[in-house]
Amino acid sequence: MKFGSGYSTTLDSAQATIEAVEKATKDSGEPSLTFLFTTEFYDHNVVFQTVKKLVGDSKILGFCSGGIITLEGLITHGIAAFTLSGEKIRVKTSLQKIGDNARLAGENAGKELLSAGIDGGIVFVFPDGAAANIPDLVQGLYNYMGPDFKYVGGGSAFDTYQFTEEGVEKGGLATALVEGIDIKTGIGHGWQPKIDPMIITRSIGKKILEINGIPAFDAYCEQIDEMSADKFEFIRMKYPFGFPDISGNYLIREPFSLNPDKSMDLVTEIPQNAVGNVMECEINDLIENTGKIAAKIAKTSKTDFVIIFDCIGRYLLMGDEFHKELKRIIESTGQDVPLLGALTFGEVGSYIDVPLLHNKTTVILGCKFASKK
Amino acid sequence: MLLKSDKLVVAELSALYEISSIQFLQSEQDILNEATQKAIRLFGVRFFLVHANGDVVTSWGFRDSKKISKKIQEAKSNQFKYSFQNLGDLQLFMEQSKDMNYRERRLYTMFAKSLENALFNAMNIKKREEAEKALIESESRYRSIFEHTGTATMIIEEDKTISLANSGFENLSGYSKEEIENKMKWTEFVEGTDLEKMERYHSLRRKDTEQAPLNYEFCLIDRNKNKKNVFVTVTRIIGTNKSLASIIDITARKDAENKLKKSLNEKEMLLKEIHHRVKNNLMVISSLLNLQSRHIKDKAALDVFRESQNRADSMALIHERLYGSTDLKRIDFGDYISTLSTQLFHTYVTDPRRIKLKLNVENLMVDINTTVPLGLILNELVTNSIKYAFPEGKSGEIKIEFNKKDDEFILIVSDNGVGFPKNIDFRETDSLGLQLVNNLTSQINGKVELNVKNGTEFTIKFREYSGN
Repeated sequence: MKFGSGYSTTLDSAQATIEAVEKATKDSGEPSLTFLFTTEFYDHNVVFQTVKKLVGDSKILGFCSGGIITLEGLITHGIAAFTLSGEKIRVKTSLQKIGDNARLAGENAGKELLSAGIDGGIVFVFPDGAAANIPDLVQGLYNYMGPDFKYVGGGSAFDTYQFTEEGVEKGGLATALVEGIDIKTGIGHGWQPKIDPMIITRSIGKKILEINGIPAFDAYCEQIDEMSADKFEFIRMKYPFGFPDISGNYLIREPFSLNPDKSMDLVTEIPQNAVGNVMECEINDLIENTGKIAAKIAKTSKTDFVIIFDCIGRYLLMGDEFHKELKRIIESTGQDVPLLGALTFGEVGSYIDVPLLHNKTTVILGCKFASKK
Repeated sequence: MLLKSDKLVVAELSALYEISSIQFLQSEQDILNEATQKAIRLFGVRFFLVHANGDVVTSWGFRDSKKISKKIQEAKSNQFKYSFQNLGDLQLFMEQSKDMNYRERRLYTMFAKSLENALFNAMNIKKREEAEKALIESESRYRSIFEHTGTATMIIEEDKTISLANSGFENLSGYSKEEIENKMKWTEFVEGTDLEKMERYHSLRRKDTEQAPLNYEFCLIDRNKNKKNVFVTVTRIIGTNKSLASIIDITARKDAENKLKKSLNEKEMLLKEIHHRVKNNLMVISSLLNLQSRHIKDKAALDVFRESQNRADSMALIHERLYGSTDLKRIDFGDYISTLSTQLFHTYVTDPRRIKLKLNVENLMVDINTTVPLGLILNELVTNSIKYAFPEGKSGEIKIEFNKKDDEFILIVSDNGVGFPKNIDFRETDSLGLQLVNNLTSQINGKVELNVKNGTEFTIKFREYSGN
């Protein structure tokens, strides 16, 4: 089995695609699976048409991300390809519209993926990150496919395009079931809970109206000394909400906007009566946490290549220091190990087995070609 | 920032609150959905199932539903099973990837109990809602029936207050429901002897329902002081001291009934008058025959006149009986036999010691269509016996019997005289009297038999004949 990676920052959609794919296929040969991560400002129909011509019968899976992570650093404008070839790789993709029923879209994707008869492997999940009820979508997918697979992925950010070899969809769900690769996944965020727990006493979808029985923003402010409405844009990134499971893992939900009625819109839904905390962090702690995750993966087994889904919110919060997070990952996984990743708007991964949609989280995949099968 | 050791405590407290919050939901489906979500997010279970002996109520994570029954048969340390004691056969199954420790099992148990309570409450709420809905529907149905009984209907309290009235009663009384309900008593619509009677019924009904009549008539006074004849049906509502009164306005019917009675009386009077006049006319004919017979010297001709006179008398007697009776269509034929036969004896028998009359008749009512021919038949047979049974001063007895066996009337006229001549066929005789007997018997669809064993015995059998 072979793999290759390449990227281009050329502004022209077709040219950038050609450059990225040709670099990748130079090492992998004719691919069985082509990952394609793009950023905004490209003509995604042209990108799709171009990559289709270049990779022949290869399965394609990709989406428009908030940025592309490479060994050389973060690219905020470019196209990247990661190609895998080999007889042992079996892939089934699915491209769905999400529409009004995210759970159904997840179930339909699961149904289509299972139709290939693949009993185990990795499920890559790339939904429109801004669509409603993506947690339901992930649950629908899992509910149909069950616990015999590992689920990873992330949501598209600004231009919400998804790809498979079947086409390109805006506001859709691209998934692929891949057999022939073993992965070790690490997931974490690095935020820590502040002391006082809070109850979401009233919420509708992504909107939190009340916390602890008072307007959401008032309750939020009580927890943050430096808070004021004009600082909300920065504060919200640094102080998201966290909701613990019984093991103490916090599922992060990031505030996205503040409304005149003091309700707050989150990036992802959180149900009424959920109990959580305002989370806090130091940038160095976030970077350190990611470094530990990467180190843990590197320690458990040798990896042939690494795939990263990192929240765009972390990048926006860290700013120039984001490169330190990448550096810590690469230090752990190895400078010589091929690496490709994307900034995502919501991350799909699991602390144990069951996938959830996370915010402000890093998901690292240590991938190794399967030795058997 | 929380210390690491505190994180698990906070996580547990958070989980406990979230578990208990399932109670806030009311719909079973919402509870099951929320419970599934919480099991996934708080516990990270990879299988979640609520089932009733394998029949899935809700499930999560089962790729192949056929494997559910096998999965719930397993007994593994990473599985949690809980039977909801208060929910019949309903059971909870959860499975996590790693073995379950004491703390997790304790939290899972609390989760299961909370889910059980929430479902139990929801089911009770659902049952209560269904019962309330059924009650509302039932009340609505009965209210609709109450409203549309087609009669004026009201519910009366023990203190005589009308607590509920329908539109029918509004129309009947002239008051609106708002004016009536819980403000007026039924006693305000009744007066005089009706009021006394109905107040007595009201008390009796509450002591013993059987004591008060179910239906009766009274006069209802409406808003404009109009008196309306009404027919009321009153029943006590079982288990209460209330009664339900259903009133029909029979004023129009009463008026029609009175008119009908008056009309009937007039017709009866008219019919009596007709019978009276027919009787008088027949009597005039009889008198004319009598007057004319005085100028006849020939005995045979005189007999013919007298017989005709008797026939007219026999018919006149029937009409006399009819107009003197309350029943203008039927007469007591037993009584008629007595009178007619006595009259005939007075006419023909000069020595009552020689020929005796013996009657054995029942007082049976016979229709006018039958009595006229039957009266003539009787006239002919009795006259024949008087005239021919005892010639040359012989003495004897004439017997008349009249009775009914089943639905057949039997008239027997017999004598112990010389007997009917054996060489004469009574059906083929020239005698006008016997021709009349035969023809009139046919007219009433009867049968005539002659027995000459001991004198002469004619038996006439017939059934009630209404004729046209």
